[in-house]
Formats: sequence, C-alpha cells, structure tokens
Amino acid sequence: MSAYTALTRANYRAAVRDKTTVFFTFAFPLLFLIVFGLIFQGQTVKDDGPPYINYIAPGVLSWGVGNAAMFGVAFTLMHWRRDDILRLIWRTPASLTSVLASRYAIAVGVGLAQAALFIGVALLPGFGLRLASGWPLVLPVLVLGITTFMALGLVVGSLADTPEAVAAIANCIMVPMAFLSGSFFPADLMPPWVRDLSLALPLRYFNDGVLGTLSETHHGSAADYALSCAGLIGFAALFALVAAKTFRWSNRG
Amino acid sequence: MRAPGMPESRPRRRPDLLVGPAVLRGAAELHPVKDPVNGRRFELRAKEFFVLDHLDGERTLAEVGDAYAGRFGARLGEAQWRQLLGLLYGRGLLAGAEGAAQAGSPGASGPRPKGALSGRSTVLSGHVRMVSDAGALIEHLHRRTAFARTPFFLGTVLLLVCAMMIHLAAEFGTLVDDMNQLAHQPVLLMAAGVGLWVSMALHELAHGLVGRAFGGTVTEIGLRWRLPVTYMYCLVQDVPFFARRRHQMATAAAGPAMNLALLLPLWPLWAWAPAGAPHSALGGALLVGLVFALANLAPLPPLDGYKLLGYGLGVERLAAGSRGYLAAAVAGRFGRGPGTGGYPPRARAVYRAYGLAAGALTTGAAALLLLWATRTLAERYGTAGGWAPVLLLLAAVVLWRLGLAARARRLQHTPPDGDEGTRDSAHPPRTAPAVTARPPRGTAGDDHHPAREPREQVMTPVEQAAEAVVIDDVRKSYGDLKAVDGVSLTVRRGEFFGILGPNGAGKTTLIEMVEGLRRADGGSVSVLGSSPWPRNTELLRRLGVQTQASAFFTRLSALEHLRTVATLYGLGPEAADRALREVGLGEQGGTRVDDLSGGQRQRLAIATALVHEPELIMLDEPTAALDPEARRSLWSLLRGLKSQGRTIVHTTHHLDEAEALCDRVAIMSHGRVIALDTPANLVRSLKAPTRVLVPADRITVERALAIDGVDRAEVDNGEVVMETRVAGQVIVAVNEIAGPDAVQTRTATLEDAYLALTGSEH
Repeated sequence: MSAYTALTRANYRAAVRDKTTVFFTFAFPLLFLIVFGLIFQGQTVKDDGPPYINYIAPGVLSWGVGNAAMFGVAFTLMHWRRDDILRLIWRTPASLTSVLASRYAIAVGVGLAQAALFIGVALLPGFGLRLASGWPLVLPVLVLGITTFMALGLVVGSLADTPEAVAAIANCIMVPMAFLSGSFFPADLMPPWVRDLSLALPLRYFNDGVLGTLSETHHGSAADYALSCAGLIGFAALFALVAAKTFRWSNRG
Repeated sequence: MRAPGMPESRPRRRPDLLVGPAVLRGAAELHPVKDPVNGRRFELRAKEFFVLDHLDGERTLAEVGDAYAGRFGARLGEAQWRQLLGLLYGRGLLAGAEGAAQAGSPGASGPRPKGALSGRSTVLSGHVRMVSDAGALIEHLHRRTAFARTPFFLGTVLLLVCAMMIHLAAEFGTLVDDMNQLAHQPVLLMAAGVGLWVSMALHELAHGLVGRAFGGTVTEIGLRWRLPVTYMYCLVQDVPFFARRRHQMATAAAGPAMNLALLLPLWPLWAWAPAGAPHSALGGALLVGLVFALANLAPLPPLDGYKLLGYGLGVERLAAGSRGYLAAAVAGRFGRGPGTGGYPPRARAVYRAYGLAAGALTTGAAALLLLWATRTLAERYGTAGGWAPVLLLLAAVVLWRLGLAARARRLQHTPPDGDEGTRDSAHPPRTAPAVTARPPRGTAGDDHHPAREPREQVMTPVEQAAEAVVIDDVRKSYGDLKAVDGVSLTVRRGEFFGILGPNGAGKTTLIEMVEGLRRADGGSVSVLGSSPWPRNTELLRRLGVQTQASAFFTRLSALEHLRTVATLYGLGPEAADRALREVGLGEQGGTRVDDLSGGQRQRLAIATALVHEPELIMLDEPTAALDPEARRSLWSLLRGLKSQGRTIVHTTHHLDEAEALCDRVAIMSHGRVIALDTPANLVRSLKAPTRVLVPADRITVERALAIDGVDRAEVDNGEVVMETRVAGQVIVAVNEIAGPDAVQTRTATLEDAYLALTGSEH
C-alpha cells in the first residue's frame, strides 16, 4: 500500500465517521434544492422563458459542491496543522504530493457523489429538471470546480488556526459569492453591473459551466464551455499559488 | 445522630436549601431540593419533605411529630424518626450537616444534574453546540436587558401584543390573502424565512434570559435535529427549584412571547402600508410569525405550551404520565395489573383530562393535515398521488419502530468495556509492563551515587560511527531572541542522553534542528553521519520523533492510526501491531484516539515514533502530564528501548527522570549548554555537603558541632541537621552518640545541581 492510499484511507475514515458533517454535506444542497424547487415550482423566468428549476438546480449544485470542497479541505488542513499531524507526515519519507493527492481524491469523490445524489433528486417529477443530451460534459467542469475550491480551501486552511476562523472566513467568501454569481437566483434577472462584477468570481464560471452542460434549456456553445473551464483553471492556478505562499507545516514559527 | 432520643431538640433545616414547588411524576408527589453548595439535587417524597419543611429550629421534634400525625394520620415511631433524621442529616440537608454529604452517602438518590445534552449525534438525530460559553453570553445579556425587567415595560409590551392579536384576528382574511401573494414572491419569502430564523434564535435567548432572571443557569445553546425537524435549544438548569410556579411558567412562555413581541414593529407598518408588494409581504410575515408563536403554545411535547402546562399544573412528564395512567387504567379494567388505585385523585383528573385533550388534538391535526395533503396531491397527480402521504406516514411509523427495536438490540449487545470503557482510565493499562525496581536513590551513604555510571553500550551493527548526533557551535535566532546560542554536543550511539532546562531554554528548537524541521543559522548538525537539512528522507527513515503535542490522525482508532503511519514509512501492518504491543497498548488497538486516556495517548505517541524501528529516538517531554504511576511504567518502557541498543535523546523538566534514566545530561539555559556530564558527576561537581539528620531528643546542637567534620548544625522540624563533607566519618560518630537507628542522610540530587546551575544564570 502506498502513502497515497494510506492517507486517502485515513481521510476517508475520518470523513465518514464525522456523521454530522456527512449529513450536512449531502443534505444542505438538497435542502436548498427542495426549498427553491417548491418556491419556484411551475414558474418560469420572464413570461415564456425556461423553468426556474433549470437555473436553480445547476446553481445550487455548483455552490454545494464548491462549498463542500472548500470547507472539507480547509478544516482538514487546519486540524492537521493544529494537531501536528502535518509534522508527523513531514517526518515520514512520504511526499507532500501524496498528502495533497489523497485529500484531492477525497474531495473529488465527495463532490461527484454529491452531484450524483443531487441530480438524481432534481430529476424526480416534483422538481422536473431535464438533462441536456451532452450532460457527461459536466464531469470535467465538476472536477475543475472542485480543484478550484479545494485550492481556495487550502488558502483558508492555511490562514485560519481555529475551526471558528475557518467557518467565518469560508462563509464570508462563499455566501456573498453564491448570491452574486447567480447560484440562488437566475443571473439573467440580476442588474447588469452585478453580472459584470461576478465575472471576477470563480463560482460564476463554475455555475456557468454546470448550467451550460446540464440544463437542456441553456445549452451553451463550445466557446462558453471553454471559457468556463479556462476561468476555473485560471482561478485554480491563482489559488494554488497563494496556497503555496501561505502554507505552513506548523503553527509554531 | 443524637436527635431521635431527644423529643425536645430543635434541629433546623439549612436555610440556604433551594426548594422548588411540589411536582407530580407518575403517581408520586415529589419535592425537588437542591444543595446550593455542592450542587446535589434530591427529590423528597411528601412525608420526608413534610418533616424537613417543619424543622425550622423553633419547633421541637415532639411538635413536628404531632403535626405529622395530624397530617398523615399516623405517628412516627422511634425507628422511623431515627431513619428519617439520619437520612436528612446524611444528605447534608440539616443545619450543621453541610459537610456530611461529602463524607459520603453514595446511595443518595435524586436526578443527576444534566449539564449538557449527552449522546452521540447521528444523521437522524443529534445536536451541536453553537455558543462556546452560553452562561457568559446570557450573563452579559442579562445585564444589558435590565431595562426590560420592569413591570411597566413588560406590561406595555404585553398589552400591545394583546391589542395586535385582537386586530390581526379581526383582519385574518386579509392576512391570508397577503400570505398567498407573498408565496409568489420568492425573494421576499426568503427574507421572511430569514426573519423567522432570527426570531427563533431570539426565542431561545428569551427562555435563557427569563430563566436566568429567576435564578436559573444556562449551560448550553445549540441546534438539535430529529429529522425532518431542526430547532434551536437553550438548556436552562434549575427550573424545578424556582421558588414559584409562575416563575417556571414565565420561563417556558418567554420564547413564544418573544416571537409575538418581535412582530410588534411589523404590525403598524402593515396596517398603514398601501396595498401592494410591501403590504402583502408584511402581512404574510405577520401571519407566519403568529402561527409559529401560537403553534408553539400547543400543549404537545416538546413544544413550549407543553412545558407551560406542566409547570402550571405541577406535573413532570405529563405526556408519559398520562400514557402510564391510561395504560394502567385499561389494564386494570381487564383485571391485569394493579389499576390506578395508587394515583391521588388530582393526578387521576389531570392525566385523564390531558390524555383525552392531547389525543383529540393530535388526531384532529393529523387528520386535517392528511386530508389536505391527500386532496391537494390527488388534484395534481391523480388518485395514486393522494395515497402518498398515507403511505409515507405508515412507512415513517414502521421505520421508527424498526429503529427503536434496533436500538434496543444494540444496547443489549454493547459489551461493557467498549469505547466508553477506556475513556476515564487514568491508570496504565493492564498489559503495561509492571513497574520495575525503583531507581536507586542516595539515601544510605555518601559513597552511593544516585545514578548509574555510563556502561559499555551494545553497538548497533549497521553503522560503525560512534556518534549518533554531532552538534557543533549551532546557532538559531528568532528576531532578536537567540533561541540557541552556540551549542556543541555529541551524543554517542546507544546512549540515553538527556537535555534539561527551564522553559524557553532552547531545548525544543535544538531538537527541531536535529530532526531537520528547522535550519540552523550557523554551525553544523550531523545526525547518523548525514545532514538533516534540507528534508532528508533517507535519514528520516532512521529517526523516530515523539512530540509534546500528541498528533494522531483524526477519528481513527489507535491501530488504524499506527497502520497509517507504518504505511507512510512503507511498512506493512505488522509493524504497527508490533509497536502497539511494545508500548503495552495491545488491547487498546480498537479504541479511537480521542477516547484514550492521557497515559495511553503518550504511549501511542511513543509507538508512533517507534513504528519503523528507528536507530535514533527523540522524545520531547514524554512524561509531561502523566501521573506518577504512569510515568514509572513509561520509564521501564524507555529502559527497554535502550537495552535494545537504540540511541535516545530525551528532553524533560523532570530531574528525577533524567537522574534515573540518562547516561549523560546536558543542562541548557538561555540557548546555551551550561553543563554536560553524567548525572552523578554533575551532582559531585556541586561539592554540596551531605546532610545528616538525627532526632533532636537524641543529640544537642552543641554536641553535634563538637563532632569532628561537622561544618554546621541546626535544629529544624524537631531534628538536628548537620552538614558535612566527610559523611562516613560523621555517621560513625553520630551512631555512637544517638544509636544507629536514628540516623538519616540526605545527599545532593541532580535537582540541587540543576538549581545551582540554572540559578546562577538568572
């Protein structure tokens, strides 16, 4: 067994044994979906536009996946540094790459499971999401989005030294971003300046990418798809650079 | 207790006892009593309480006995008096017996105080704390809200709330219309939802604040879920001990009252707003808030109305009591069981009435809801859809029963020493190596030195180099602070090397440079023949480091943690199993790391350092925060490691530990090594005198001073203490004067040497 497998297994066990977090990771986006689904049931954007659910389901999905990736990584990194687990790993011959790769594998696994569950529920008759024919294209977008938000989580986890700080910083980043990027209501209904502003936010690209591939009524062009992916790659690289700068093996000095 | 025989004595109950109003639980009437000093709670039955209540220090026991006979129609016999007073006295409820409770009557009954919600959270039900120090928060708010605790303020708010409710009831039709409008405006609906959440949080704070105002304490504020319901909660302690029932009722009613009061600002706005979106939004919010607050007053558990009713009637667990009563009544009707003869008349009336009312309320509400859901769904999805809620309800009931059954089975099968069993054990585990012979201590004579001389060590066959660690003029600064300031030392292979020093002496920094975590600013560090910096993975395989903080992978068991570490070193699971056995934790392998005791965690930390069988082991205060027993058993573990030929570098505060274990000791202070030698040589270099002690009645100071070789003599604590540098000679002389059994000697220890050395630096 490799160091990567061992750390992935340890991460996985720690994750599934934290029942509360598991529950909120999977139930929270669903809860939002149900609430919005019920509120907007049968309604359309503008008079003869597409149903709201086609906006809301991809939006809430990208928000939920990004949120979980960021929180999970930030909490793990903060805990591992605070409890000196990072030092323990440093002392073994294991490479930093295997540490990051194992956490990445968990984040991608959790994100894809979230997405599968979420889309499954959204397809139920009560919600009425209809998948576009090219829906498998959403998978690369999901992986890129998870990467971006995991990198952001690495930054947050490096800056914060307590669970409270992680929660505070992460929420301050995610909640306004969710509203500005159109996760919770259609970007088409927002004032133009908000739409322009949101181009500076990673969640906007994640949203657009998921929306454009998943939703039948918003099927985007190849250029849109490429733009979303490029945006996510750009932000991932940026956050990874910042994370490399802010990373600390230990809280002490 | 001397009272029973003395009908004229006047025992008095403690005036500071907290006594709450009587409550009914099942068929029994109970009086809650709390000892404010040690926090113990009791529930006294009517007769015991009657006696306690009448012992006011003025009535004699004979008078109390008369009153008792008048009330209960029977006299207390001598033996009963003895038992009763013994009970009250033993529990520390009588004046002058405050300490008796501590003296131990472990059988003292009464509910144990519940300071916090217990039990593990699961996906389906659980709780999470949201305020780290709820008591302090409520205390702060209590001071800030003094303005609201005036009759004028409260009266005004209540009047306004009543007026608002009358007006809203009159305009109910408009409110419903507004609500329908609001339902089509998602953004405003969300705003109303957020408002409702805020209102719920303030609802809980109101419970806490009113409880606090009547003398309760708030221990926890958090979020609880029993799917599909989530709600906030606020634990208020001591409500049963409030002096009056209306205080208890006010505490329960405070939450809904707060919800209603929060609606007050919306009411005029709604009344005056012109028709349109804002008007309907306000109306909808008012309706939602109103329904929320009033629904909370329904007398069903766990709603506030239920608690309110229970406090008002003085009945605990009203619902369970009613169920019990009705079950007993039905069983009695069919001739099974004792029936309801044991229930006092008031209890019968209360349980019967509540049982009927609650039953009617629940079935009525459920039927209405089901009817509505069935009709709505049937309209939309056809007849089959109409059956969905009924089926869902049935499925929920079945699942719930299955859950209960599974839980009962699990409780039956849980072995007594599962995870929980090891949580509190501060003692070393049973498999721990037994405490070996105590380290020799210099108590017999001058020529017996406290520590062993360094002996020939078993060399590890792998390397021929004689040095494990060579540190040469190493420096490290943090800003202006010179943490390590020119340290040079050599650790030989197979040596047990101690680094001693006060906090901040630079020990940890030095260790961190040896393991390669930090780079030295100057000088050179060589470990097992190579440089540890930059990160040297070949070297890391041969090093084992245990840290002060016990770092374990989150939520894994001890064995899982070690196996993970073993894999990081590229080893198989056998290595982890072996290391776990080696530190005597073989039986704790399945225990979660968070559930290990302090001593077990230290052992696991050492096992983590040993998993890859390193040649050089570095221990940073391995016995910090251990009790003496656990420390000794750890010592024998460390001695065992040394006898395997490993090199051990060991930092510690404990001088006795260094003296007992280390071959050589470096004493550090202010980043420098101020002494480096064997413990025995360090002590000897002090040239400290040996003290000879003789009881003062065997020898006088004058005679002691007359002995050849005694430098000083004085009386201390009933003993004549002589200081000498020729102990053997003096002891012989003292033996002749005082007899051999009277003499004790004290030689200098490493502690004396350490204090002398580090003291001179300050």
